[in-house]
Amino acid sequence: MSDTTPTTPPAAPAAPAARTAEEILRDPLVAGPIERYRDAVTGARDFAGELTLFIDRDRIVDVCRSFKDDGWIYLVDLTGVDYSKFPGHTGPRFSVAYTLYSLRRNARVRLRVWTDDATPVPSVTSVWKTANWHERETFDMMGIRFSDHPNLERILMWEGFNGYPLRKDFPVRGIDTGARIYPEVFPAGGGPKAGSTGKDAKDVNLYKGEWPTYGVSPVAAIGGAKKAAPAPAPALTAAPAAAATAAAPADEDEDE
Amino acid sequence: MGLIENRFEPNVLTTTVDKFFNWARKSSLWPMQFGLACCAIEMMAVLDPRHDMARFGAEVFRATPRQSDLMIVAGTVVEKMAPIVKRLYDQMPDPKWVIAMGSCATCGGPYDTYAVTQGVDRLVPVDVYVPGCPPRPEALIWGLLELQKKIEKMHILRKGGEAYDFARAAVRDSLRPGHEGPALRAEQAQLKPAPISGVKRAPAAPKPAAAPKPATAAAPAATVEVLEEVREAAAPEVIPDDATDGASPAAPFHDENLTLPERMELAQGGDLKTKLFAAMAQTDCGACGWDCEGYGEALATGETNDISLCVPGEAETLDMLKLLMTEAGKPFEGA
Amino acid sequence: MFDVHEMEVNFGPQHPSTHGVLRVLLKIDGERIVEAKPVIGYLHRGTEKLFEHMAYPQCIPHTDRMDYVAAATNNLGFVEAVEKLMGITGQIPRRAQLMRVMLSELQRISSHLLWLATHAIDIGAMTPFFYCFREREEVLDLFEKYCGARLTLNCMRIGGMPDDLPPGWLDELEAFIGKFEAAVDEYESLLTNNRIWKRRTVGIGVISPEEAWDWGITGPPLRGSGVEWDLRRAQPYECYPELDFEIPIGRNGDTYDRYLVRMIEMRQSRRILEQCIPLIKATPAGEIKARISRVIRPPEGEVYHSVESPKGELGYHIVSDGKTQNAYRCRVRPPSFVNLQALPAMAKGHLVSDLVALIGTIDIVLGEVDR
Repeated sequence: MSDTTPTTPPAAPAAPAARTAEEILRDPLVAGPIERYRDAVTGARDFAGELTLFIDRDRIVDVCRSFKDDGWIYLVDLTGVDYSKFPGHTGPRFSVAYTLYSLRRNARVRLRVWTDDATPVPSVTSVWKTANWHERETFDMMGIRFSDHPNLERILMWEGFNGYPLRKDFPVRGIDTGARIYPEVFPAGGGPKAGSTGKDAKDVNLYKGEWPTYGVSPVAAIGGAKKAAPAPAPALTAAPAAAATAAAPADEDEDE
Repeated sequence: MGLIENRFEPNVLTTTVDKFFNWARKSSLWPMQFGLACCAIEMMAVLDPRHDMARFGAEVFRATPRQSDLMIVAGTVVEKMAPIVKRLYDQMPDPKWVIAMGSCATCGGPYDTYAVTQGVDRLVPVDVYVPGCPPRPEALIWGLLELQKKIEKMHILRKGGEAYDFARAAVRDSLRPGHEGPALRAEQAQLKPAPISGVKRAPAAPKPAAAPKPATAAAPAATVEVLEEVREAAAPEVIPDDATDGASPAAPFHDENLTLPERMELAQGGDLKTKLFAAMAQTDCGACGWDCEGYGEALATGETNDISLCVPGEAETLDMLKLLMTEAGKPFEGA
Repeated sequence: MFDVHEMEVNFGPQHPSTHGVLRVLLKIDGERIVEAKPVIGYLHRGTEKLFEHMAYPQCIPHTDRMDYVAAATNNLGFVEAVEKLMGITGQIPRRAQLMRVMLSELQRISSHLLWLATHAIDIGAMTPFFYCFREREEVLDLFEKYCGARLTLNCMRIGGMPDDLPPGWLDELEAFIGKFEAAVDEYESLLTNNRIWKRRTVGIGVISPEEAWDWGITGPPLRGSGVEWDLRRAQPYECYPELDFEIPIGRNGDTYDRYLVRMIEMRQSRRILEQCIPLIKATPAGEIKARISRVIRPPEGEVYHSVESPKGELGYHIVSDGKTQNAYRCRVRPPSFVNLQALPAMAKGHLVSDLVALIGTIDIVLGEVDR
């Protein structure tokens, strides 16, 4: 491909003014690739100097291939957006955005596809290899499935996690998905208890084993010193230190 | 070390040997390379020529947990990584310490999210917390020095020393139900007299605020209350259970320093429960699953028949319990 | 007669490489790698979810912690993306722009120094670690004098900068620049013509330019394969158009070329800083922020903006709903995530010890990979 000869790219084109969808589709930047697929384009938008084309979900692979043949060799980003809490949104819930870059024209364009969580989107891994992990991440975070993907499995969350974190109905602190990693090692789970503020004493989920105590840290003695003094008073005969350490295993809470 | 651990009463020989061992241990801590996130970069910066951790003896970062004794958890512990942290901690040989470096390791940091463990002390016991996001290398050096001060206080050869703790810890974890953290215990202390779930304590003596002070002037009582408040404010999770430590009039033998014959003499005339209590090692360590009094009561009421549970008591307690149970005609096992 | 068995080895999340918690599942035949499969997610902290719950200015400290080695460029990408969304890119005062450029280039130097230190120590050369950190501490001193933090800087604001340069900062910067060239010469004298270094890095992990574009690789790995593409030239931002610097490219696309590219980039960054100092002295002091309202509420729309971070193209895709002060969706396009995807292709057929060199040469930061 001629695009890959190491040439210095030209200066970025000036941002065009806001235009209608028809005008955008006539823009030389995108007119070539979508010529054969005009019917697959359902809309266009121009905002902040960037063009966005809305593509029919089932034709996305063909459209992408057409773009790649036209010189858009670099898939910059592939991401999903959950529109369920977007004010005034009535269409399908999810949108997958493909950001493309052309070296020859030194410009970017964005393709968008609407879908819901039941319908898979055809994968563009066959067009750009880099889409592999991007699509896995979109699946992991949003639950958008991609058909014909080589290995659509979770990438960031652990296996067995059965929620989709970036969906708008998934709370930041998490929900009890019932998924635990290695439950035999980690039975209660370490993270925040589902729905907890973390500030309640009963939500505190400290280490449930032995807290070895080798002595009192000088910092802890600031509050606890007063308490340590009266306790060994009755046993202060031959071994004051012995009584203190005898008290230590019983009073482990002092040595946090 | 096994021959000389946990044998001696404190004397000048044991304290000198303690000092020597503690000095050796604190001056050559070998941290495990466990940088997780941003704090790892500052941990690396501690090794650089400007901050130079080598002068504190902690330069040798071992990659394998088997050869290290300090785990500096530097960075966010994510749920996916948490079992690995725990496994690495378990793989470290004793004695081992943990420094929780940075906010994320201390309490989850700025990430109160679905994927982050809110503090590594949910997984492993932490010795020193170093706050900061990320803490400056000087702060980590401070943390290391605090840990060295903590190590200086270890006792190795004496009864009740560090080696003793490890022997008990192995038994305790398998026998005793895990105890909740200090905050939970503090809360429960307000609800019922037994502060630690599952571990019974000797009954509390009458409230010390009234007993040792003359009941006349309001000023001393107020002082006591003020002291209580100050203590609460300074260390609110510390349970003031002064009355339950050591001997009390109800159990004069409940003193670790008395020998078995002395204890049995003090318990003469008591019922089976009291005699069994006196036969225990009086450490309230919890290895058996109760405190000493609780275990005695459990044996007396038949809650348990196993007389071999008293770890610190060793053979002498076992023999005495066997004797007492035989006298009382109770079945027992584990002899 | 002899059976050939493949061994599956876990190059586990905790390993003595300071790149973070990366796990690579290796299938090896003796020492040769047959297949390498990276497993990530051990540092996934839910940053993108947090972005949706925080106002735009509150997100800036969180962007520091993604690529924690190069925090200033993370900040820069985010604030520029929001400014693009709001349409105020042209209103940033020149002094603020120059400050942003200077901090970004200082950050590039610091990131490359850390890269060299860790890459070299992974391959076995321990001395550059101490030398590089010596210079890096001076860069961090400069950062600390400016914004108070060494690592997670939070040094940019939407619309400008938080503070003006403290007095004496420019002189210190000049002093640093004065001796930095000699420092880079010192590092090169240790490694560039070193036989062992060459044996470990020449021919390792070759990527052709077509493959690089297909994998989406950007930054020094792309330039090491011979593609002269740098976002500071191609899609310039701030005042890069008026600064004079070269873009180094490699010839063979192997680890050695990527190493040389980064070394030259450090020198070019120094050159950029040298040019910036007189330019910023000519701007009036104090004009460091555009006149915008304190409440950042961008109009409805979406924008993708990227900057050239030391690791590659760092992009922010922000979707705003026009009504709230939070981003509706803020997606970070991390260069390390995308570059790491090419690791299996690069590692195939190499030895296990080359894998360590490859992880170093792609220069990944797991905070960015996992966010």
